[in-house]
This record gives sequence, C-alpha cells and structure tokens, in this order.
Amino acid sequence: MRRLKRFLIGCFLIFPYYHCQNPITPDKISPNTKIIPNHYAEYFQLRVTEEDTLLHILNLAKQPIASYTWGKSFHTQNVQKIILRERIATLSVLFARMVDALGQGSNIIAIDNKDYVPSNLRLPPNCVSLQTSGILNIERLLGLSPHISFLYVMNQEDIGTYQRLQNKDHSVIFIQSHQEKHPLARAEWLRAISWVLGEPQKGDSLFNKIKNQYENLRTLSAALRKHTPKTHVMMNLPFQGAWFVPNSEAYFSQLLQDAGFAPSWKFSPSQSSQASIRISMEEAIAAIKTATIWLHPGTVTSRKEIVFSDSRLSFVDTLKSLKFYQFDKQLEPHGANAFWDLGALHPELILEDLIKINQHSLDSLYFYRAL
Amino acid sequence: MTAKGQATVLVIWIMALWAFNLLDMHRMDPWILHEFRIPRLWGALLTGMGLALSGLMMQTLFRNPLAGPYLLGVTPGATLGMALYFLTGTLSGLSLSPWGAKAASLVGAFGALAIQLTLSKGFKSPLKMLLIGMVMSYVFSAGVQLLMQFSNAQDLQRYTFWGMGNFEAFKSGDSWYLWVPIIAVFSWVWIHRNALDTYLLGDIYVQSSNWNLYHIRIGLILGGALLAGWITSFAGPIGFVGLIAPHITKRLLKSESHHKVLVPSILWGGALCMSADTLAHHVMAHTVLPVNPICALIGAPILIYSLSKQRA
Repeated sequence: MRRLKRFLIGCFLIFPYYHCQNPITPDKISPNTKIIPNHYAEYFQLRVTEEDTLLHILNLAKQPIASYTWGKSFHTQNVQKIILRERIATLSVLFARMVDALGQGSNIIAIDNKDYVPSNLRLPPNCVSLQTSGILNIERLLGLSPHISFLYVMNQEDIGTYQRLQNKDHSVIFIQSHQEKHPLARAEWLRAISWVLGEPQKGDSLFNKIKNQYENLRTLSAALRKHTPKTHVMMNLPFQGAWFVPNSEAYFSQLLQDAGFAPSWKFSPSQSSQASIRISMEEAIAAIKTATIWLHPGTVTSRKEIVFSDSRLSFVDTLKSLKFYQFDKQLEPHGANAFWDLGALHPELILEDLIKINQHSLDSLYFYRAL
Repeated sequence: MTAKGQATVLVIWIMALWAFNLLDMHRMDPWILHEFRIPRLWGALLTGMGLALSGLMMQTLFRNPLAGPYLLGVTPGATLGMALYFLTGTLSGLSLSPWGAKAASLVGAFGALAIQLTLSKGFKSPLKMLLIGMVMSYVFSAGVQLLMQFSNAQDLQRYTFWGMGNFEAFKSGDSWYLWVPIIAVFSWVWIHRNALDTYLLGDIYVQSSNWNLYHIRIGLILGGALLAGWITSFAGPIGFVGLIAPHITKRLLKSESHHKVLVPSILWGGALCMSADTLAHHVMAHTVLPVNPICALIGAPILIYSLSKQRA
C-alpha cells in the first residue's frame, strides 16, 4: 500500500514536469502570428510571425506531424530550422518536378529512381538514385550531405525514422501531397516547397497560373455541358476478378466531374470517399453498358487486348459507341510517364485533355491517346 | 449431432446461401446470371470444399487437428509462382493467356512439392515434412518480398489484389476444372477411409494391418497438396478454411473417423467460403470486400472457441 502511494505521488510530481517540457508553439510567443491561407491544400499550413515563417505539415487528422522554420531568430524544440538549401534530395519525381519548376533543378543531387524520370525533366548529370529497390538507401542519402530532403510517408510510424536523419545542416521535409483529394490541392504543395526554398513569390505566381487555368477550364466545361446530359465514363480493367474504381472524392473523380463526366459506377458511401473501391464484376458490366467513354483500360495498348484481362469482356467489341482512351501518350520506353508528375503539378493539362475527350475534339491531346 | 444431421444442416445452409444470392435473378440479364453470378457461387462453394478436403488430408497426414493445406509449402510455392508471374512483368506470350497465371501457380506448387519430396526422402517422417514445409514457406515468402521490392507499382498492385482472394474471376465452365480433381481426391479418400482411420492410430497399426504406409502417405500428400495448389491458382490464397472446416467437424462429431467426418468437412468448407463471399458482397453497398480477411474473421473465433473448450 505504501509503495502504491509513493508511486501515485511520483506520478503527480512527474506529470507537471513533463507538461512544462511541452514545446511552446510560436502562437504562444507572439500573438501576431498570421496564417497564410491556402487555396485548396488542407495538409500544410504556413504561418508568419514578426520575425519568422513556419511551415506545419499535417496528418489526415489535421494534427501537425512536423514543423519547419526559417528566418531570423525563432527556434524551439520540435521545430526544424532550415538554414541551407543548396543540395536537395527529392524522393519522388513529382517533388523534383516542383523543384525544377522553381528554377532550382540544378540543385537536385538525388532522386528516388532515375529510371522513372521523364525525359522532359532534366536533372543534373551527377544526380543519383536512392530507392531503386523500393527501400530508401539511407546511408547513401546521408553520404551525399543533402541540405534538404523532400520525401513523403504513408505511415506515421515512419516519421520518427526519417526525422532522425535531421541535423542543423539537413532538414527532412515531409511533402504529404498524396493526402490531398483535389487536384489543385496536390499542385498547391508547390507553394510549400517554394517557401522552403526561399522562392515564395515564384511559387505563388506559378500556382496561381495553374489554378486560374484549371478554374477557367472547369468553368468552360460547365458552360459547354450546360444543356447536355453528362457523359458516362468507365475506368480501369479487372484483374483476377478484382475491379477497382475511384470513390466519390478520390483524386481522379474530381477531375472527371470537373471535365463534365459522370462515372457510370455507383459510389460507396460506407467507404472513405477518397479511396478506391472494388466493385463486383456484375456492377462493372452494368457500368460498361451505360458508358460511352472508357479511360485508363489497364495497361492495354489496343482494344483487342482488353479481352485478355477477362474473356467475358469480349462483348465490348460490339459496343461501337464506346471509345477507349489510354494515358500513355507520354509513356517512355523505360517506364517513365509524365502523366504522374507533370500531371500532378499541372492538373489543368489533364483536365484539358479530358474536356477535349468529352467534346470529341481529339486534336493535340497531351497525355491521352485514343485506342 | 450425427454426421448425417450435420450434413443435412450444412446442405440447407448452402441452399439458403444460393437462394439469397439468387433472390434478384428474375431481374437480372441472363447473360450476367450465367457468366458472373452463378460461376462466382460455384467457385466459392468448390473452393471451400476443395480446401476443406485438402485440410482434412493434411490433418490426417500429420495426425494433427491444427494442420492445414499450407503446411507442406505447396501453397506458398503456388503463391511464389504467381508472384513471379506478376512481379517480373510476366513472361512474354504467357502473360496474355488466361491460363498464364494458373500455369505459373501450378508450376510453383509442383516445384515446392518436388523440393519437399527430395528433402523429406520418401515421407519417412511427417514431422520432418512439416518442418521442411515450414522452412519452405518462409523461404518462398522471402522470395515474394524480394520480388516486390523490384516490381513496378502496377505489378505489385495486381499481386496484392490476387492475394486478397476472390471468386469473381471464375467463369462458366471453370467449375469443371475444380469438380474433377475434387471428385477424384474425394473418391480416393473414400475408398481408403479404413486405411486412413488406421493411419491415425499410428504407423505400427498401418503396417500390422497390411496397408502400405508409403502409398497412404503419397496419396495424402499428392492429393492434399496438389488440390490446394490447384485451387489457389483459381481463387488466390484463401486461408483458414482448410484448417477450420475439418476441425469443426471433428469437434462437433467428437470423432476423427473418415467415415463420419469426410462429407461434413467438405460441406463445412463450402458453407464457410460461400458465407464469406456473400458477406463480401453484401456488407457494404456498391463495393466488394476481400474474401481472405472475412474467412479469417469467421474462422478465427470458431478456432479460438474450439481450442478454449479443448480439454488439457
């Protein structure tokens, strides 16, 4: 009993100690913190104080998982201060594309896999691959002495693993653009990167251009489809009977809706709206019969290959009004496809292609090719 | 409950599942009914029956009620064969054939069995076979994980989908490819039920009864393991059914005699798989859940309950 009492008393004494150790956020130091609002992105936040700027990276629950600062004086526990910016490692082709768009492509010293870099993204010749086997070669990364590493994590448990790599000369910046559901929200991470690299005006200007073009196209699409019913679209192909399609608020669903398409499958309200859902073959067949456009039919390069995924799809040959479009126009022999990185940074290019497909105006499609 | 009673209940359960799944058949396009709905139901039923039969044979072979079709390493071998097919970007030509995946899975299963036969040197010791099978499972799993590191996102995704298990890939006519081996293996087990009951008592009893111990073991291994590998190539790796179905039957009947447990075991397997497939299609609107986790969610509590009731 005595031991229990001592234990409880100890807990009461220790608790305030730990409470006092909690890092003080900038808000508590300065009441004049301004939040720089984002247009679409939800998972990063920029804050400006009198002497400093803060970037918070947020998880899906909108809680900060990492914080960065640069500026004159401010530094607290759990906030990484960014000092140097000349040597940049980008562990995704999309991040490299964003860095390059900001005019700092020549500072990229490492990327995840050079094989998947499209030829229209020129990296310095001494840029090395760090993740050819799917696992990051941490020792090689540290051996390159980067100043900034842009990477992403799928599990929160990995955050601690990568934050260990940080020191006063090396900042690990988590670019969680994959968490965003809207295409412009993903592209807006260009602004976060631009602030980190000290080019905020350039980033804001580039993003505003992308946003304006996208929004203009969306308005144009709405005007074009005002008095006509939406075109029904089908997507993907099954594999071994498993057919996945995007749910209502998934990335590609947003693009389809903005382009004036109506998905011919039903969304699942009981699953995450941002996720892909698996539909039954019966639902897929019913969806195919109502669709007039079919996008992303697996990896096929011609219509006749569709039957190889499932011989029961041979009936699609009889549906003469059903048009197929594959996003492999920018596909390169070694597997790189600018659709994934350039398309993520410039969703207005994808939207433009989709609008043209919807309007049957197939001249100068950028990413898509009719099968 | 007697074996006959159990079998009757299970047949009614299976018929009820068929009726539930075909409630809307009068509104369906006959082509969809015959090409998708009915083949899926047959696929679920036959997969469950085949895995249960394979599981029963493995439990007999190892004289262990917790043995399953995966223990000899044949199913992990089939999985590795499938992974090689998907994750190396497929073999040219073979990849475009509807039978490419099944062939790769069978080659993996046969290869694993060949290794097992070579290393266990004539089935002298079931314990040795079990240990070799476990080690092979680890090795094949490691092989799959290594392949995954070097695959592209598309191949990785395809392998992942296949690994979740589903019956939607079954086409009309595919059920014959399962019926024939199931009937053949079932026939062998039924004909040798007396010998298998004696086998459960021990090697000495088999030898003293003039049964050929070697032939019994070969039959159990080849029938059980290849049936599991063959079914895996159609439906993907479906776990727990082969372990649970015979185990439940034996617990309910309080007997391990093949005279009694054979038919109810395979009916249990069919009922479990059909139930998992029905749940996968109806729990959430407009989406299909993977079958494998549902089989585990159904089977694990039953197994835990059964083990908790087991006398020390």
